Amino acid sequence: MAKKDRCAALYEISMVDFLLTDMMLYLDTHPNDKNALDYYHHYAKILKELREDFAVNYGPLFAEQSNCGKTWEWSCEPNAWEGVC
Amino acid sequence: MFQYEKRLQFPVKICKPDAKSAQIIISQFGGPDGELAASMRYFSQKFATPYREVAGLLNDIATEELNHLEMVGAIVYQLTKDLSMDEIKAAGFDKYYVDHTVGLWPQAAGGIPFNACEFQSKGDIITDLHEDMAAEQKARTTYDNILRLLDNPDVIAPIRFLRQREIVHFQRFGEALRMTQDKLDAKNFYAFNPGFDCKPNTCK
Repeated sequence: MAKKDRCAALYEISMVDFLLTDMMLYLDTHPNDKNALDYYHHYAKILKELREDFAVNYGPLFAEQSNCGKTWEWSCEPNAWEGVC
Repeated sequence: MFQYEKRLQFPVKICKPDAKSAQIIISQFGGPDGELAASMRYFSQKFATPYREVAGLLNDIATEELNHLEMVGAIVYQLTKDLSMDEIKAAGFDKYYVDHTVGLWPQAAGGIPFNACEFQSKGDIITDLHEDMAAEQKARTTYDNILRLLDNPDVIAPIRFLRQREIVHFQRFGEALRMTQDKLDAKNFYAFNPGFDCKPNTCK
């Protein structure tokens, strides 16, 4: 069950990050769109929290999120292309 | 600089190996209209781009294309792992296998290796943006062709996502061309290189 939760958490991050990527490209060519700016900043805050929660619960998405310990957590977690969550 | 995040932009989870599909899809890894060419094209062009906001867009899209390269690599990898020798032979995958086993190597579906001649970095933002818009359409056509050859929903979902991004990038490059033209003389869009023949924002 823990594995399924990890998948769902990763999927949520991917959804919000994709939304921000798409909005970033829009803002690159529409830098003064107030609604788009508000939308971007609202979800950027949510993404930051989701990433922090994920690292605490399931392991690092970024190398510097690796926990202190005897082994190097960054290289123990599955790689993105393996098809496992 | 770049920082790696350990996840794909869109999930790729394929349970059933299919070497025939992998041999087609690898064209978007290292083929003429593939993601490697796309990323390197925009990444190379950004440096001499005279307008900061346009250069920024090139950088952001180059970065997204690297995510797409990783997704295409994941698709090909998952389609070719755990193949039996009989499956490799039956799918005609033996010619790739003999040189690369099931390692990823950037090539077109027809076996032609990746080559920087597949893209340009012309040092003229008007020329480059026209190339970029054409590149997005060529990649979209390639994904359309791939989709007509696929039947596995696990493969179709990420390929459809990638196809959709070509359309969005085309739109954004069109806007970047408009932003560039807005800085030029409306009667003289194509007659000179705004980044070389005159300093940015001074062209009359």
